[in-house]
Amino acid sequence: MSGGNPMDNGACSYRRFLDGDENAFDEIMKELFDNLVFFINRYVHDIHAAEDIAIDTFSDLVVNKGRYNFKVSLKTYLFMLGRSRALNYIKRSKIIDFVELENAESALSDKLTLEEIVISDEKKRVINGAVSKLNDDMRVVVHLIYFEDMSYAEAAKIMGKKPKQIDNLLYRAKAELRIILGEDGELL
Amino acid sequence: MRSFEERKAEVFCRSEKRIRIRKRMRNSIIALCLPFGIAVAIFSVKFLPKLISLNDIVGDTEVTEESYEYEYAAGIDFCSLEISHTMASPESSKNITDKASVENIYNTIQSIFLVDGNSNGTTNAGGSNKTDENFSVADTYILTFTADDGFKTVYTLNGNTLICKTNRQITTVTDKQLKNLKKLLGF
Repeated sequence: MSGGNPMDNGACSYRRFLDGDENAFDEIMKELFDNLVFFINRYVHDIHAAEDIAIDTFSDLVVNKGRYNFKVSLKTYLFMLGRSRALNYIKRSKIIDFVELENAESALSDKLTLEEIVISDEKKRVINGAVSKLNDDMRVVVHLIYFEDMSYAEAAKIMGKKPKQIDNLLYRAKAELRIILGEDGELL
Repeated sequence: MRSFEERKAEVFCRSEKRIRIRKRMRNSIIALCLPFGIAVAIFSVKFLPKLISLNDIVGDTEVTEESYEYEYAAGIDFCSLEISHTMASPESSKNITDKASVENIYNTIQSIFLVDGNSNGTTNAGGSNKTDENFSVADTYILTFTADDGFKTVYTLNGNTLICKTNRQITTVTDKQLKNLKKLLGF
């Protein structure tokens, strides 16, 4: 999996983009887009909607250029925006969508492709299957800490919680995953 | 799922759309506020000169009730004062033509009217409440102030009673004020 990049890289690229270098934005997208979609999908459970939301999130970077203050990593900032948009999406779309079977299959295959892109580690792919059985907060915190290699502070910032709460959530999530994974729980 | 180029194109397409909408909203707000701004500007232009001219009349002094009372006097330049007595012959009347003295006497008389804040009252808060019980028209000083343009203001002083014939105001003068006034009038 393409883990968390050093904090400066995203920020440096964004600074270059603000100075007029459009290639810098390409770098940011290549680096963070798939991870962001994968993260948003934890909330919305719809890969195409997650992609749409991720596009809107990146559009925020273009439209509101002055809003990012470089105090957190660009990845953290993007994930914060993405989470906020995902929660708004969930609030708006309370109706369950019935999808044609062909489309469902296509969505599933897109999701699997994304998984392959984002999670290169086989071990993590096993855990990824189990993570979907956790509740919302646990699922998100495992994703951020384990799949995105973020610090507790960064995860706390994204989720709007304290680091201690993240710690507690993670502890409980691990306990649940051990139960879910059974023998494979030893992987944790 | 979209390819990288499609995603990038979509990001910039949506960004431009949002920027366009934002600009349109900004222009609408300006278009709505512009008439109000113009109205305020016209209002300021129309009434501001009047406010400025009022400030010139009043000056830097704090505008108080007293100031407004003096505004009438400040606007009129009295150039002479004729002092006559009802018991004396007209030829023996006294004339004061020194402008500064005339103004001084006039201001003193005005201050007597304003001391108690009630120019129509018959009591004077600055001193003892004395009224001349034996009001005699025969023993009355008549003070006639004349301005440059011929405007006249007439006061009568009988004992402790000071009356402005022009404004129909009456007040009581304390002994101290009376003494001061008579001194100014040269009695």
